[in-house]
Amino acid sequence: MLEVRRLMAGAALALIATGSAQAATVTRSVFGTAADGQTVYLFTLKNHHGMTVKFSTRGGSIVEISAPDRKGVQDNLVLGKPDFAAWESGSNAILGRYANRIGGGGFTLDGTFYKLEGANPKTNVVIHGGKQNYFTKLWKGEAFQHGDEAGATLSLVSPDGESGFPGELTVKVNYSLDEHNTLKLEYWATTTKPTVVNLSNHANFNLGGYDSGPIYNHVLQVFASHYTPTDAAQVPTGEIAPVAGTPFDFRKPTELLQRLYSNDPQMMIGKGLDHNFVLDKPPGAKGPVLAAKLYDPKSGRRMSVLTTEPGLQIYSSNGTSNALGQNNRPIRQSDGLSFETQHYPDAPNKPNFPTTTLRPGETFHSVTEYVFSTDGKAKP
Amino acid sequence: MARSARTFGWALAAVLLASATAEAATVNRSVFGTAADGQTVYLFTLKNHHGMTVRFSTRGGSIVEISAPDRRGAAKNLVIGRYDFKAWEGGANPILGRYANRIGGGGFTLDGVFYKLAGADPQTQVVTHAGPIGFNQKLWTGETFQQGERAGATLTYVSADGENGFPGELTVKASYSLGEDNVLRLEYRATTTKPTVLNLTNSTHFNLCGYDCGPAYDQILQVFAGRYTPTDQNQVPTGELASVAGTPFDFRTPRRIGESVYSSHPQMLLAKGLDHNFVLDKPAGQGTLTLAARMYDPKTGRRLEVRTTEPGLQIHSANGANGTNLGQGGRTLRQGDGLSLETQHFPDSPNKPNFPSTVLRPGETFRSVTEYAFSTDGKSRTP
Repeated sequence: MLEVRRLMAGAALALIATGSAQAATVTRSVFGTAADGQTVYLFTLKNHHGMTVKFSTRGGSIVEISAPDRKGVQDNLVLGKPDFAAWESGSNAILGRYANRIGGGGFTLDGTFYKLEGANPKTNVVIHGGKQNYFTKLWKGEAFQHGDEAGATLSLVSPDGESGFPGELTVKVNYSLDEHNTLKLEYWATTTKPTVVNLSNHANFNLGGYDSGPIYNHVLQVFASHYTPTDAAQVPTGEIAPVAGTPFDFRKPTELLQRLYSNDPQMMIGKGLDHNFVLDKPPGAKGPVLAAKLYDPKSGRRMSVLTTEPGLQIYSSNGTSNALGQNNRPIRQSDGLSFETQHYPDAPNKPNFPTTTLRPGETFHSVTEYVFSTDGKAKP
Repeated sequence: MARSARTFGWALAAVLLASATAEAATVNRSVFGTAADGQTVYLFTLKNHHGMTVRFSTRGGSIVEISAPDRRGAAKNLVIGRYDFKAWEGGANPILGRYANRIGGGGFTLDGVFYKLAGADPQTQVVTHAGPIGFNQKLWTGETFQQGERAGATLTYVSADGENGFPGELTVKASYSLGEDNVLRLEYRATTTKPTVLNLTNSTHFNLCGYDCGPAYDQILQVFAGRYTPTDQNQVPTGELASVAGTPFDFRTPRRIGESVYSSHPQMLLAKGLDHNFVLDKPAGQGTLTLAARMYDPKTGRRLEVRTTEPGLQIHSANGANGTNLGQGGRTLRQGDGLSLETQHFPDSPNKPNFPSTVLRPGETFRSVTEYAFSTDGKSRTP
């Protein structure tokens, strides 16, 4: 009996040892052919702990993030699209050249006003980079392997003057998965002329699975003591407001239900959460720090978001268009939650916000990690 | 000692039961507020001895509150309400008329005359809920009554000949009453001075968990309807009576609401969820009160049974609520928060000869009854 136990312990050690030598894998397949005849590729990352991540070279759209629940059952945790044609418009994708909003139709840099293309004619607000946005671009993709991490580098050259932004911007974004269930997004950018840059990803998460209905019973924690209130057009006023005493105070884990139904004027402007949180950063922090945690009590799934960025836009899918999602299931209000790590919206017009200016010779670099786990309850 | 105490207890219980059966629901009237035009708007409050409270306003007969106990006896408001008196003045959870739901083609032909209605959508020519300022926004007169253990109030409105284009002066009475059986009964009567069409209902949105629980997707619905009336893209019935079999409209066996509203069936996408008329399975002969639908909330144990003499039931899953408007307690109203169970004749019947007639002629009295019966599943009930 004792011998058997020893033998089993030995076997377990051996298994752990093999486990640590295991590495995630990446494969590339053809996702489809674009309207202009170009080939769109799909990268599939898999590891040995139940995770699968798929993304398209169309905008870096995240087509799937599957992770196990507390019973080990996998489910796709992003709100998807029904088919290739729908994915071609870019969803759960890279936002740029300037993620989120710029007010006043443009910005002034070094004394020159740059008018952007694609502003809303009524509000003069430019969203997600305007007319030529990164999420509808076809990116180049190249697979890579680093230790236990497997991934692909997506790259794009955004021409000087695109959507009105100055400078040719070369952007690289790495998506990688490791054996610790971390999906890492790493961004680099260089420019030929002074410009502004804000890069993010708009994946909409539902830890209960894409088909589990609204996220009202998810528990959210955000490591932010401040947020940036907006005007009626959702452009920040410039104020860095404390979250204390507001429905934006998620410093302690809080169920979303009552918050999203709040009549706080800011919440009503967004028709729910659609706000930039000013992340509490320990002074001198160099690597990614914890920005938010999301927990689904029903499935037991947890997600932590870490980033080097100063801000986090959280959006609770407030639209009610009922567009078709994965498996032709309509997407209804609050079916998902996005965690868009970013610089603050309208920073080019807000001198008190962290700068988004990038100059020739400099390299913009940021890292965001989405880490998946479970509460381990009732694990088999 | 123990035995005599027990005997005494049983005797006491028997006495209490006896007095309970003699109890009756109560009604009282209070001032709800003063309308913009200076008129007084009243609120009627019905209460019984089994945990129920119902409140409704003389503005459109808006149902402000239906509180009923959960399986543990805790009462909560089960209708999706409005923020304050001013918001209630817009008429929510109210009586819909003169013609509830939709009429296509901008009007209808009756006895060879085309009646053009006011308030048609300029693009679609669809008239919804009888055009501008329907019965839901009218100030009704209200009078209380007591009938045995039932207490209630009768709301009356006289719709002028030609109002919104409808012929005939229509006198409408809607009685709301509550009994000790936890049944809220809505009884409609109407007479006219000229041939006309009418369709009367109440569009209260229910959430059996409570007004503040979020979407009702996990609640269970059963509808006693083998057919429904599919619509065109403007939500006007095509005239077809289609089988629900194999569609998300098949609620003949109890089904999660969310399972249905998340369907990609073209009819479901068209309405952005449930907003359809069910053709109730009725025994031959109209006008009998039959079971139309059952709704159940597994979380709280609350059950709702809908019975009606009407041939149709419009079910709407609050698809347009988007977080812009305020509801009870200052909460915003969001998509899917509640479900309406609108007993009715079929939409666009005046233009659909194969639908049950909605014509009312002088000398006739339109009469319909709808009951909303509340109960619980009785699980883990505390004494």
